[in-house]
Amino acid sequence: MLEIKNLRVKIEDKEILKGLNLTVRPGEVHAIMGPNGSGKSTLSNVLAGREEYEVTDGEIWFEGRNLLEMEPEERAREGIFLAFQYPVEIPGVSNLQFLRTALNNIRKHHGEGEIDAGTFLKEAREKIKVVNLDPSFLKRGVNEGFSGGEKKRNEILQMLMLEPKLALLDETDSGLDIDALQMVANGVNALRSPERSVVMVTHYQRLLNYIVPDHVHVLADGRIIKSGGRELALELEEKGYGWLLSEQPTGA
Amino acid sequence: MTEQTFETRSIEAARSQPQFQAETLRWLQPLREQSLEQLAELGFPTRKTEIWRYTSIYPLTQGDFLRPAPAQDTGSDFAIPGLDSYCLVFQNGVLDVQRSQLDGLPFEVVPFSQASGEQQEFIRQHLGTLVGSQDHPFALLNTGWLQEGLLIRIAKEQRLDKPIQVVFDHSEASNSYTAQPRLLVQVEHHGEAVLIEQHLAQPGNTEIFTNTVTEVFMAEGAKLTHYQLNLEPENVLHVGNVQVSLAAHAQYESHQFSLAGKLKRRDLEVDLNQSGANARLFAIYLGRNSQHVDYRTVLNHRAAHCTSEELVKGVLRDEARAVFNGRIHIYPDAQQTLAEMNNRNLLLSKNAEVNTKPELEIYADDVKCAHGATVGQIDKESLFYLRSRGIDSAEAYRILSDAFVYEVLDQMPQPEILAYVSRWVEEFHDRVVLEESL
Repeated sequence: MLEIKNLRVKIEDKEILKGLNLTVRPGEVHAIMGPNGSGKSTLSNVLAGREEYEVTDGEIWFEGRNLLEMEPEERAREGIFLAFQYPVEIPGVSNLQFLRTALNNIRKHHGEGEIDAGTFLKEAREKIKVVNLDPSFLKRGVNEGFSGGEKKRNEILQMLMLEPKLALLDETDSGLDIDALQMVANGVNALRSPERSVVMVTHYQRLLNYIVPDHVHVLADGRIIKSGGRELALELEEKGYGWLLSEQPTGA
Repeated sequence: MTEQTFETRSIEAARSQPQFQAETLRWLQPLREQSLEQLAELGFPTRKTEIWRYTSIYPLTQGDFLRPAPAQDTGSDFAIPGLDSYCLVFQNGVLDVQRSQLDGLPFEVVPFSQASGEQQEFIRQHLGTLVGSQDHPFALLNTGWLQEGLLIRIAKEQRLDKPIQVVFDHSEASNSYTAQPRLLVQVEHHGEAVLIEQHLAQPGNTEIFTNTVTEVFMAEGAKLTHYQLNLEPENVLHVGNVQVSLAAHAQYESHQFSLAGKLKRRDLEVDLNQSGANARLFAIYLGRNSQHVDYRTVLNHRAAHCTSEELVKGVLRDEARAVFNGRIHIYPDAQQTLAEMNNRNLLLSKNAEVNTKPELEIYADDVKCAHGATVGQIDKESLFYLRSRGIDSAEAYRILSDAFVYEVLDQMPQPEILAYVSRWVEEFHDRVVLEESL
């Protein structure tokens, strides 16, 4: 589904990713962990198509297509979804209007007609229950005046509505209390299927108690320095990142 | 041979237009002469006139406007779908009796040319008294030129069941012309009404100059919601002036919607003369291509315990230019004033331009005043957020710009009018392109 080869990325002349490799197959859940500044968010932003990041080398293939040649909206229509670390507030655009426009854009891309307003509303009301937000949030401006946890849950609601093939969660667990974390996990688990994949970027092991990954990778200084199963996350929880970093060869 | 100035030409044209000598308007003659004399003295604004600094009347001086329109029997469709109203129609500055409802109205409407007795007296005592100041040469021209005017009066404690819709329509003609209509509105004690000024024109190539003046007198506890929909196409050069006087606890609410043009200038001045008066001003202007629009508002807080609130927003695309000049003047007696003014502008192109100047002048010490002005672009983070959900950039632009505009339009109490102006917003946002340079 997703194949990243030797990815090198710069932002404002500073190299953040320094030859990253990652393969995600359909149905898999990957967790990417690492200390602050290791390049975790850069990876998810590059995958979503944020323009400030300059890819200097390497390739990204998504379902056999060159992702780096695709506009952000095209990536979304092909099935990539980024749950933002800091979701934007857009006053004046209702959640419903936003979701419906997004969904219809995606449907159009796949040669489908616009979704019927009644069906759409029904679906939205169903799915907002999963993340335990009040239905009144559908009528409010996108993220307008939402708390941090509500914003994250709203991201998951969007994900449930748009049903992506590949969901990227960028530190979706940060700043969440246990209840909200549970809601987010419910949403992600509801989406899991043999065709869908998830890449979670996180600093903490905590989220992985709720969304159990198939693979765990440690990202440090722009490269994946260790990969393993679920047990790697537990080991990191216990020992921190220090032991891994000191195993790394130093200097160029 | 010396070339005549625009003032001289205008004044001569005003005196020679047929309505100037009309028997039915003879009783206005002294006021008209006086206005033209004042105009001769004052002159039209130049770039050195502070309140006209960013708007040139050059297009006006270059055109051949100084004649009344030929008679016309066709007009634009002015219906506001779903809205039932009392309709009064000015076609090319002249009252269109056929299309206006003048009889059987629950309120008083009198064309100046048919006013008699007490009505004449009222008009004489009030006409031009709110626009007599030095700032309004075009209002002086309107008084001098005046083809027809309407006196509209809402009686004491009367609540109108339907809005009054005054249409200022303009026909295409083979030559340029000018329209100089006039409204004089009185809302008596605790009367309530909705007044819609709707400026339209049939699309065409002939340039038209419309110069309108509306004066509104509101007695104690009176309420007026006043729409000013300035929807003429680009070939209409529009100078419009609204002057409002508020007595105690009167509530005036204005909703302006303007498409820019070759020359579009709107002045709105409100005097809060007695305690407890309240004014709320909302406005949107939209400019595209090389269009221009100039908004000026003045709020004169002359008494204590008055409040004013103002939100003016503009969106400019292409090379359009907008000017906003908002002024709040708090007089020494106006203690306990609450006044807030905001002007926000959204530029959709790097070549669009805004000159905004909010001004506060405060001579009372116990007041709460705030003002703000911003000029910005579409927020890149919001744009990316929408795109990351599959929405293409043009549509994302439109959605974000819509959100900006509707913050103001949603304040309109009449949903039919909101829906009516929406079509121009939609058209405005059509084919907005993402500029890489932003």
